[in-house]
Amino acid sequence: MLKGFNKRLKLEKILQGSIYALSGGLFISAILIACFQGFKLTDWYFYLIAIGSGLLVFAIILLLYIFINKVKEKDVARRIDQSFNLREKAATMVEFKDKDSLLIQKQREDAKKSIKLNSPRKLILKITMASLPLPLLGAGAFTTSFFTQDIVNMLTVEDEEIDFDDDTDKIIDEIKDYIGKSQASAAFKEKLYEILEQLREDLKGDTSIPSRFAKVEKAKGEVDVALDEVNTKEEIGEGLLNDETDFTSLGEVIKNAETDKLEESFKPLLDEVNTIFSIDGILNTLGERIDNLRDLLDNIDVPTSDANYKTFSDLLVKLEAIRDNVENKMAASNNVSSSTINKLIMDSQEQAKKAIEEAIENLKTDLTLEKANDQLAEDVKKLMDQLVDPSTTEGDPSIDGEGGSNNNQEGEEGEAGDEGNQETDQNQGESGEADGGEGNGDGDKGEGSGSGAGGQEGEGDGQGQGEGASGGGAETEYGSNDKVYTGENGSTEYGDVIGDYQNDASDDAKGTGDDDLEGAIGDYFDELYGEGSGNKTNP
Amino acid sequence: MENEALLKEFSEATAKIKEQIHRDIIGQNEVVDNVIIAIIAGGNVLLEGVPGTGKTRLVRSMGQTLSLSFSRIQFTPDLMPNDVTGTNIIRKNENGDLVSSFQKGPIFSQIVLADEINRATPKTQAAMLEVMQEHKVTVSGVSYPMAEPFFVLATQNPIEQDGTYPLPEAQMDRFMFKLNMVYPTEKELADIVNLTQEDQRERAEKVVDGETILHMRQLAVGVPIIDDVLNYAMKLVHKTHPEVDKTSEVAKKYIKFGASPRACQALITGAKIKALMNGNFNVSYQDIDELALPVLRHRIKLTYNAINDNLTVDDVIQKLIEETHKGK
Repeated sequence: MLKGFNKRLKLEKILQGSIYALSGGLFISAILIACFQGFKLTDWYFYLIAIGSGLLVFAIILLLYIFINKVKEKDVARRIDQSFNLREKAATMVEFKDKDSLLIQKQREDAKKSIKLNSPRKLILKITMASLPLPLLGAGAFTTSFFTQDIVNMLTVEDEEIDFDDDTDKIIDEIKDYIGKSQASAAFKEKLYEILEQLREDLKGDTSIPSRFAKVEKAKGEVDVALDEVNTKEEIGEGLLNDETDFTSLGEVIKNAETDKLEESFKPLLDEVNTIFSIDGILNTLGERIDNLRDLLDNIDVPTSDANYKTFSDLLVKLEAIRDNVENKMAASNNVSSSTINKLIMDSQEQAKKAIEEAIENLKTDLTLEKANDQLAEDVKKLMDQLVDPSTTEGDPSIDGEGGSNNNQEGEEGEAGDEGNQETDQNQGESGEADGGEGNGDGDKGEGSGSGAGGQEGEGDGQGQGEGASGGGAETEYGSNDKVYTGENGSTEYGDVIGDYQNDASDDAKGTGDDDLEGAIGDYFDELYGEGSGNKTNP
Repeated sequence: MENEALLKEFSEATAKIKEQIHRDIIGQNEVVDNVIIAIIAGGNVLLEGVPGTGKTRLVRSMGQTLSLSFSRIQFTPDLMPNDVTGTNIIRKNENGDLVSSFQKGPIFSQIVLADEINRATPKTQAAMLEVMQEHKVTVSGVSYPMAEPFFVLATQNPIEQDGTYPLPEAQMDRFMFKLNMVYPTEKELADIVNLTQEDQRERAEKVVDGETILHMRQLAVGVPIIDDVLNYAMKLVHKTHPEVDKTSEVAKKYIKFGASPRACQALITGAKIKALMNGNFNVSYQDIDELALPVLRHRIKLTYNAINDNLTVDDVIQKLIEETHKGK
């Protein structure tokens, strides 16, 4: 009578058991696969072992479940009563099957009649809802287990002790190499070496970005101070500008290190010398210039050992010697022949011209050095930014080699140099072996002192004057070094804040009412980023 | 009567009884069913209802339908125990001698209506205890048995509690059921008015006699009940005792005193009869649940928590039923 229902319930047990067994099998397989992957056992037969084990576990759990949850007649009866609302007729029939009485017989008949009215297929199979997600979870675990190694790799973060010292030493050594290869003055280089060594000491063991930032900024300040000490063109230029003589144009040229305009600025003096036709002319002209030079040398606050100072000082001495020579010769004899006088005048002119030309040459050399010092200072300061957070230095920090000073300016415009082969080195920027573009000008080989940053060796050979002349042969790029410290261990890209800087500067300029100032600020930023550049990411 | 025949006619008999009762009583189906169950089971019933809901009429109709002697005792505060049970009196015999003879009281009927039983003094109420439980009266050392079937149907008014004497626990426990006569619906009220306009007398006719009731009682004993249902009934009664069954949150919070073992007896006996009345031959969970309220409501004392939570005793019993079903 209850056979059909019995089978139905057995099917239910099998289904329920299969869900648990499937979940168990999948989880076991997943665990085994994960373990095998952990031990890097990835041959195909290991996967086979895992799956086989899963199947075995499936079978064991299913059999155990069916065995433990055997379907009993009582359970079937109870289930029939619940499902078809028989008011415990089936259960009573089963429980009292071994007893007999009038009422029990009647009850049995009544129960059978009621049970027959219902088909076993109508018995709804019940599966525990809570068990349904288990196979899904098992399947998820099984699938994920194949990627255990990848997940572990992703999650593993090597606890590296933050140690910037090695990177710091490396960067400082590279900067020193760069300095060594530059065309700047030896004195300035020495000062820079000292500053870098001191910075190296200061940064030792320091892993705090704000602290490192502060130290690097301090070192940059020291670079500026050192530059002021070795470069005197400013002071001398200012001194000449304050002079009330024709040396004012020379003052501008020296201040701006415009070596190509030196001869032109000395022209008035040369013209004066060339137009001396008398002894008095010599004495007066030279005397005046000597006084100017003396005032200049007395008033400028530069060391007497300074090259520019010495140039002017030598010029002064030579002019004095010429004048003294003329005075002495004229004083030695009462009656000097006109030919002697003429010769004296011509000799004096020649000597004066020679002295002036020598001074021009010396100034050219000195100013070239000072320009190189300026460039080197800028480059070194930029390179120092890498020291703030050496771990984020991504390379490609190179500096537009804008060409060294070209001694000979007679060449025509050269074509732009080709980009050299650049190999990116970690934390080092480009260690380029760029060949400088070759100018097509007729000029002699200049001693380009264009310096590429980021370890790039600016060994550009002779470049004609022109925009194409780029000492490093590589374009300027600002990498991740270009950061601005924002306080509290934070930093941001320079380009993210420069827009605000421009706006602030423009607002302040507007407040002054000076249109020229406002225009200058706008030009400056446009020059920096390109006109109309909305995305000011890199200067 | 042959059991086979009686079994066949059991539900027909009860249906006939109901039909006759409903000739005089409009509505109150559940009360009528439970009164029939109590009569067949040999239990007593406490009827509670506002005046005019048909308590007395129900009992009178029952008496007529079952062809049983009927008496009514109106309980008042001055009613004495002897007024209920009877007393010995001195009288002259045929010879003119003075002899003592026992004068039976109104209790000596098969169906006794104890009207407003809570108005009698505890002493008088106590007089009912023996007869309700043992179906006999003892006066001056002599026991006088009641004619079977014997059935006490007591009534009490839930409104007038002033000047009344609440029934003691012992007496309450002797009532198999406590039934609430609810106020009739509008339609039922209309039917009642129509019914009683012409003739106020009961119209119920005899359909079953006392002997048949006794046979039915005996037959009902044999109704099978499975262990699960039996245990369910036991568990339900057991849960009314928070000091014994510590698992019931409802009992812990709302019940002060639980039901006696008589509640289990009443539940099972009543459930068997109910099953037969419904045409079934076994007791089910539903039968137990349907009788739980009448069996337990007068046997349980609630705590103040129930009063605070505005729960009646029926509400608490319903919660117990739900709790017991969950633990099945």
